[in-house]
Amino acid sequence: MKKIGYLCTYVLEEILHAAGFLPVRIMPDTTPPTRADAHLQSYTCCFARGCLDLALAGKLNDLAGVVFTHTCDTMQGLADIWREVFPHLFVETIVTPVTLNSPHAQQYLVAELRRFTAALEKHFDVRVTDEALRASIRVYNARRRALADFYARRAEFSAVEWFDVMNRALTSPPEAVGGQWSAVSTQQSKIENQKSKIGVVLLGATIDEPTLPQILDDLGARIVADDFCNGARYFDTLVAEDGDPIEALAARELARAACPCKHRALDNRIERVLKLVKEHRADGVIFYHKKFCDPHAWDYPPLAAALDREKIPHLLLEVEQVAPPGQTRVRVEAFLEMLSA
Amino acid sequence: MTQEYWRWKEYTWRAPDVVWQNGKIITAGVDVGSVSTQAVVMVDGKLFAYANRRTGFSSPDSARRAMESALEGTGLTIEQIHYIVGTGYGRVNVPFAHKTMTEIACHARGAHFLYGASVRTVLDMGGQDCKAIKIDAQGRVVNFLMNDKCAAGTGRGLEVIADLLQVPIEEMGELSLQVEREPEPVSSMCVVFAKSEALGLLRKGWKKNEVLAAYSRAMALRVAALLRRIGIEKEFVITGGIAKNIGIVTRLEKELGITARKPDFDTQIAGAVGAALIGKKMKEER
Repeated sequence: MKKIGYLCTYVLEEILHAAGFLPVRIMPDTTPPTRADAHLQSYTCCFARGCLDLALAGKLNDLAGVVFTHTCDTMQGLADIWREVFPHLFVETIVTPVTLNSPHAQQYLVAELRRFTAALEKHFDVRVTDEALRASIRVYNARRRALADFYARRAEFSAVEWFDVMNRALTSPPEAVGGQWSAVSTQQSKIENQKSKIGVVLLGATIDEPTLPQILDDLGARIVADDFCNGARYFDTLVAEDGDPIEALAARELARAACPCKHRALDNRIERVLKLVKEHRADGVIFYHKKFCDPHAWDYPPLAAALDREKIPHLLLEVEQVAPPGQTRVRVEAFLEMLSA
Repeated sequence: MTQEYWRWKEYTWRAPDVVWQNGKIITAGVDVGSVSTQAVVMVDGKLFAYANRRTGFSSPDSARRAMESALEGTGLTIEQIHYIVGTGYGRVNVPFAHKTMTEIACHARGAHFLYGASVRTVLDMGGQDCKAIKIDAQGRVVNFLMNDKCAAGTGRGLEVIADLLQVPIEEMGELSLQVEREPEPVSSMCVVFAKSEALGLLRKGWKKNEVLAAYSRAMALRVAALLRRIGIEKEFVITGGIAKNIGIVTRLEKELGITARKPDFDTQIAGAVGAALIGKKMKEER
C-alpha cells in the first residue's frame, strides 16, 4: 500500500485511505535537524523543522505525497517549501475554516474536501467512491473507539506506554492497531503506576519524544488526561456512518475539540481544559509547548489566568525538538513537589 | 601559572556555640549545583557547620568532598547524621542521601529559615540557571519560573566575564558600580556572544568598569523580566552566589523599584540549608 504523509489531524485520513493509500502521520524523530535550517527561519517551531528535516534526509522517501491543512502560518509556509523542494510529490493543502461554527463552515468545507478529493483522484488516477469512503470511515471510527477504550484504561499504563501506543497508532495501518495495547498492559509498569498519586493534565500541540513521559514515570506521576493533536484530540468525535460521506467527514471536523488554530467561541478551549481537570480530578496542568509555536503561545495567557482563577496549579514547559532532560526534570519535579506539599 | 580570576574562595564554617553531641536530630543538606557544591549540617534545626566547594566532574565526589570538609575536625561522621537530603543538579548522585528534593523547594525552605517567615519572593541566582520562586508563610513553593534561554544571567556567565576582564570575581560588583554614567546593557542573550560583545567594547576603548556595568545591567534586566512574569510580592530576597554581587543586586533593585532584604549569612548555602531542614522534618515524621 502506498503511503501519504500528513502533518495535522485536520487532514482527513478517510479520504486518503479510500483512495487506496495508507495515511501516515509525520512526526519528527530525535535526530538534531541539520538540513531544514537551510529553508527555515530561526523562529520556526521545531515540529516544522523536524518534519522537513526527515524529508530532506530521505527518511520519507516511501511517501507518494504529503497533505497539509491550513492551521498556522508555519504549516502554510511549510507546504509551499515542500512543494518547491519536492516537485515530483503530490503536495496539497486543505484549507479548513478557522471559525468552526460559522453558518457557512459546513458548506465551505464540503466544497473544499470535494476539491481536494478531485485533486487526489486526478494526480494518482484513482477513484474515491462513496462506498470506499464509508468503508474507510468505519475503519477509522473503529480505531478511534479503540483509542478511546485505551484512554479509559489509561490508569493501568505508564506515561511512556501511553506515548508509545499513541505514536505507533498514528503511523500504523488502522486495521492493525487494535491489538497493540493489550500486549503492553501486562507489563510491570501497570503495577508500579497504581502507586502514583499525583495526576496531571498535559496540554500542547504534539508530543514527539518521550522525555517528559519518562520523567513523569520516574517521579511517579500519572497523565490523567491530555489535549494533544497526537493524543486525545485525534480520536475525539466519530464520523457519522450514514448519509453523504463527505458531508459526514466535514461535520466531524467542525464538531471535534478545536486546537488553538481554530475558533469556536472565546472560552471554548478554556472550558474544555477546566472540564478535563475536574472530570479526571487532576492535581495540576502541564503546558508542553514547542518554542515558537505561536497558536499555543497566544492561547496560554487566558488559559493560565483561568487556571489561576480556579486555583489549579500549572507549569509551562517550552521545549525544542528534544526536551533537555536535566532542566525539564527539575521543573517537573519541583512542580510535583509543590502539588504534593 | 596565570591567575584564575573566576575562582571564588572555597571555605568552611563552624558554629562556635553548637555541640553536636547534645543534639537530638542531626541532619544535613547537600546542594550539588552545576558550579558549586554546599554541604550544611544542622543540629536540632540550628546551623552547625557548612562547606562550600567547587563542583567537579563527578557529582558523588563533589558531594563527599563538601560533606567531609564540613565535618572535618568535628568528630561527627557522615554515618552519624540521622537524615541527609540531596538537592541541586547532582541531587540523584549524592551517594549518602536518604532523599532528594529539587533546589527550588530547598531554596524556598532555606530562604524562609534564613530571612524569616515574611519572605514571599525568592530569587535564586545560581551557577547555570536562575529561578524566581513564590513562597508561602511556611516556606512552601506556591509558584516558580526558571530561565530557559541561556547562561548569560548566571554565575557561570559572570565567571567567563571575570576571566575576560581579568577582574577577580569577588571584586566585579564594586567595580561595576564605579561608572559616572550607566552604559547601555550588552544585548546578547548567549554568554559566548555576550563575551564577544564585551570584547568589542574593550576594543572600542571602554574601560573594564564600563564593560562590567554594561554586562551587569544586562543581567539585571534579564532577571527582572523573569521576576515580573511571576509577580513580585514583598518581602523579596536573593539567594545563590550572585546575591553577593553588589553591582547586579543594586541594578536589579533599581530596575524593579524594590529593595531586597540584606543577608547576614552566606547566600550560597540557602539550598543546602533548606535540604537539611526538610531532612529534619522527614526524620521527625518517621
